[in-house]
Amino acid sequence: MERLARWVRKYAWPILGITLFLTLLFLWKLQSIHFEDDVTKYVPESDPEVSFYNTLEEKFSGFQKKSMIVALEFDDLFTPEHLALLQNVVEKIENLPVVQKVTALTNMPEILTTEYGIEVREVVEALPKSQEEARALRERLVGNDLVWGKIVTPDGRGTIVVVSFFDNVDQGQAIRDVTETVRGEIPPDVQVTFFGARIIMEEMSKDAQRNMRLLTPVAGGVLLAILWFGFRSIRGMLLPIFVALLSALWAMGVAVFLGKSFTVISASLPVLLLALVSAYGIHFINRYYEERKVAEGKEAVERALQGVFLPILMSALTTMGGFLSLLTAEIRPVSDFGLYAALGVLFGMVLSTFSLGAFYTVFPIRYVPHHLEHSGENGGDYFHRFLRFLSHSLLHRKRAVVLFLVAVTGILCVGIPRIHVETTIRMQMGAEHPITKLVEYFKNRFGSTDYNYLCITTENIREPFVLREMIRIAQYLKRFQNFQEPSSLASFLLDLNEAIEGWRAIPLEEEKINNLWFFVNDNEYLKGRMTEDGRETFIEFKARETTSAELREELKKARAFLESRPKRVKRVPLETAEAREFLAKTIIEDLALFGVSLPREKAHAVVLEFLEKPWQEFIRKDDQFVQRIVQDARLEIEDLGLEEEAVQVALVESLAGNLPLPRVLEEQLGLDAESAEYLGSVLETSLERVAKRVKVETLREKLEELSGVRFEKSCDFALYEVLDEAVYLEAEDGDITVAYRITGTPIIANHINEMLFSQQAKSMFLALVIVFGLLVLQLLSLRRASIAMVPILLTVVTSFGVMGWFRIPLNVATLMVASIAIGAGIDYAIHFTARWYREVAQNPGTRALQATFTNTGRGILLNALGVAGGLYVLALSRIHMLRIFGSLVATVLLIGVFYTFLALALLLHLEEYLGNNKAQQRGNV
Amino acid sequence: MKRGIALVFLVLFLFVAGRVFALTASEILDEMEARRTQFTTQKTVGRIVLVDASGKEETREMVMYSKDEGEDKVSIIFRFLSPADVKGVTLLSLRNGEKIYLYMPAYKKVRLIAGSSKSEKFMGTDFSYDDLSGGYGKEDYESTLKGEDDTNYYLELIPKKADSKYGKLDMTVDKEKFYFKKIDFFDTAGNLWKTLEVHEVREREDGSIQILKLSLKDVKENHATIMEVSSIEEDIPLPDDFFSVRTIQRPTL
Repeated sequence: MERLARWVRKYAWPILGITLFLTLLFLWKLQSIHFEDDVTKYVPESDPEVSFYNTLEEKFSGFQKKSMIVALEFDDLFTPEHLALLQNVVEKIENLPVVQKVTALTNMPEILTTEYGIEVREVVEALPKSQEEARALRERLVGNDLVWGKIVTPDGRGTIVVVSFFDNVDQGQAIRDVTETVRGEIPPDVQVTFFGARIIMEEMSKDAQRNMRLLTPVAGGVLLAILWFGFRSIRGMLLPIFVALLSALWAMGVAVFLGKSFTVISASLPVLLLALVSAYGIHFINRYYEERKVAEGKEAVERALQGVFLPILMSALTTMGGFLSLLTAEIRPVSDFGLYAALGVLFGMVLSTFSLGAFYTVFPIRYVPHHLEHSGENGGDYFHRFLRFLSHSLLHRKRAVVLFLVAVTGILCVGIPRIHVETTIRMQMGAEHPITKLVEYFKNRFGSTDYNYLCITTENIREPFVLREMIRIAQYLKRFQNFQEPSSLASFLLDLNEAIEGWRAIPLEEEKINNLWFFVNDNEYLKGRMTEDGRETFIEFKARETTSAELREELKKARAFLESRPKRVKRVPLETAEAREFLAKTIIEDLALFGVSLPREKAHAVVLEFLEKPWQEFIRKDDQFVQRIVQDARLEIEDLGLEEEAVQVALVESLAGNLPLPRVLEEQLGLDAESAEYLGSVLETSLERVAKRVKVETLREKLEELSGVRFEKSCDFALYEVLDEAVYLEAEDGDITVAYRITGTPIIANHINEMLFSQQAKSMFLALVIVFGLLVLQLLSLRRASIAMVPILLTVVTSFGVMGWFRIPLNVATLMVASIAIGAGIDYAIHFTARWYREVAQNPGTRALQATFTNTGRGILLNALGVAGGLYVLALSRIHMLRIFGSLVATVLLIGVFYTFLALALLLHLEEYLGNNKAQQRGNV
Repeated sequence: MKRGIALVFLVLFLFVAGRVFALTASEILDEMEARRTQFTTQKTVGRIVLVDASGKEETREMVMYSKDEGEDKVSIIFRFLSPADVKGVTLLSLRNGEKIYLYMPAYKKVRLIAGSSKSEKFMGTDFSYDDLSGGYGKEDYESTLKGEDDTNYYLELIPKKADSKYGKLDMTVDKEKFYFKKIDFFDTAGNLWKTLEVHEVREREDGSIQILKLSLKDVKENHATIMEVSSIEEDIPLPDDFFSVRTIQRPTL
């Protein structure tokens, strides 16, 4: 130690030079500090959930494109001027080179089924020119589920414009381009809001930096006040704070050097280090002033270093132990924070000893401040009186103290199971935070902004079985808040089949699927939802915000449902009774998925009866039936220049007399043989289609009678299965396999939630082990180290108990509280224990305890007040998570001090008492 | 001195003569129009290669019948011959897409695809119906000659229609054969959008030019379409009602 002290004295100038150089270097480096708070980057990329999520971006071009949302709020959107303004904004955005696609009310495509065919058109074909037209448009859109409440707010005032960027653009710049463009077009009376994951992240980053800039000086101010109270000297006041700030600067500088990014929680680092590390500077300066009273400048530095280096080192090591235990956490913000904080403590220790030593060597003080010269060990201030009272109470009311501790611990333990995990934006940022308000504004006005996905892997996603399973699963999952508004290739094909064939079903014929796929291939949006090899696709769901517990419950049910679905099947023709039985059961189960409740056995019998009837049995000869056939073929009839009525008459005659249709057409309509043959075949096809429809409609009527309610249109999916000519049976030798996996940012957030408990336990256990090891090293006794651990264990119980009782959720910030409390709080136990054993070696137990309280206890109390004062500054943060984190750490540390004063003191006194008794007994013997 | 004066006159003459004998942009477009293959009906067999952003190619064989309806309007029947999943899917586009019908053989059904914009993509390619109508005449474009070299003219065409999706076209025209070798299409903000390149042509005896292979790259989407013609028959006899819903339902056209 002497050599070290001499070394510092000898190389004081170079040490100061290096300190200055490193400070400037890190200051320069800090300019490129980068914040990133992407939940998918919270856990390592090797994490199975995250790596799976990340692969989706590579597999599907339509997945998680770089994008943003622009929301516009008018006093009324549906005026010709405002719609024209919207159109203009959309066009201006479309013209930006970074923009790939813009989706807005004015260019949204919709598939409409008309009597002629499919009409693919835009929701707003032409901009209204008058107020009446605008009102008519509004009335038409109110009934459009895809638009009203999603693209347009329910009150018709607001609308959103979704902007997708090209993959290769700098998203930050692209967002700025769009923002500037929109602001340039929008008059001041229109409210414009920008939204997107990247925008949220940038806002969080800005807020975290603002937080650092504002709170660090405030924490510095609080500490200045405390230090002024302690030293009444400019240097004594400024230098510990300066050292703490430098340690924070160095730690963050190293992190930037390592290419690390920061999260919101890292923003508390300077304040935390100010609170914790300034204690080291205080220790050194305090000791230096003490030595300076008896020695000249440089000599005083040497003696101060010899006196405090080891205690500061031990204190730093235990605190670092607490922080380094966080490295075991697989949650990036936590492990990063642990690393930065541990580095900060290490630098604080080095700066408080080497650099401060060098500083005082070069710039020694001439006089010791007057008040410090007279600072006796037993000052008569409030602290002193309080501590005396405490030690006195402890000695004379041991039973009450024990009862008090047991009662408090018991109550706190009851609170522990109440701890819950919550990582919603509202919980993280606070209800009043602008980011929470932004997220909630979008959620309230336009529905959810988060998405979950069900990924499907199979041999061929065109397989009807797979597409039908996608519809069934989406229909089941729709009941959950996290799986709303499903959209997929399968749902698109369902719409398309309805437009072409007239019913909402996935056809069983592969040729039909292939024909429908033609539209998929033509559509970049749909193509972006399948892998190039056609083996994987996904269903996208909007996720409404739920509590973590609700999400967990929904996920559990969703996974159980997926587990229950067939994974390996083979296609079997509907020739056997077994196959028909299976199909009847499937139809009833599918109807149940669509909310239809039926008496099982009766319904099964009805469906089975229909399965056994061929569609030809449903051919009717009435006018209505014939009219439907003609309607179905009207495009071809019109193309031949014929009247529908004339064709209808010919068709009735053919059906009534069982006459060949082409001949009747030839005779009645005067068609040439070829044309009659052609129209005949067209009408035959339509007849089959209509007869099949009638079959299904009849089944529907029968089942509606059984259930007593009218079925929704969506039930067509299940009802039209009655036309199937094959079934998919679960079979070990099946050639069709399918696998499912759920993912999405809410799912990953939930995954992190689930990790929080295990990470918490792991890091806390490690912190306890490290601290215990250091205690054994320092106290050279397992028993003494075990006793010294008691206040820490009680502190841990307290931190959890407080969280449970006050419903403070476990999140990435509060997860760290216990480990930090262990690392920082153990210092009090070490100092108290060391002093006790020193005192008790010279004095009887009672006097030793009083001396320990009034001497070391005073230092501990002052230090704890300083640390807590600094940390309570975080309560001023705009970020709710940091407010809770700062207040909780500070409170737990203060409570930890009282555990040291009560529990530890009591145990040490008891140990001494029992030791004396044993000695006495041995003496008596 | 005299020699000096003569030289000045010679230079002036060459300069003025150059100006007098050089073609204007409008004349170049007229010459291109004159060199365009003139036909009433045409049958083209070939293949389309779609190249996506990752470079993956998908080849579709096709047969296309077209008819010049006059007034720059073309009617088209377009059928895919392969691969199996699109085989038989047939499109009927009447008068530059005024009405578009699609026949899907598995459904035995023709559907009118109404309201499709002429600026929409044609059958999954990078071509729009407008692009396919082909002509770049002075009726539709303001043209300026921006430069020339030994082999090419460089024209700038500005669409006359206010609702055109293109802001301008930069066209490279072959000086000898008067066909466009390359056209860069720019959006209304002035950003490059598509590049059309002609890779292979055939000059017929009458001097008209048939394009045999061309590619269109959508720079924004990073997607390309290559069209290769394997055979062309012109002025083939087709019945009056050939371009009809009925025709596209036939197994063989």
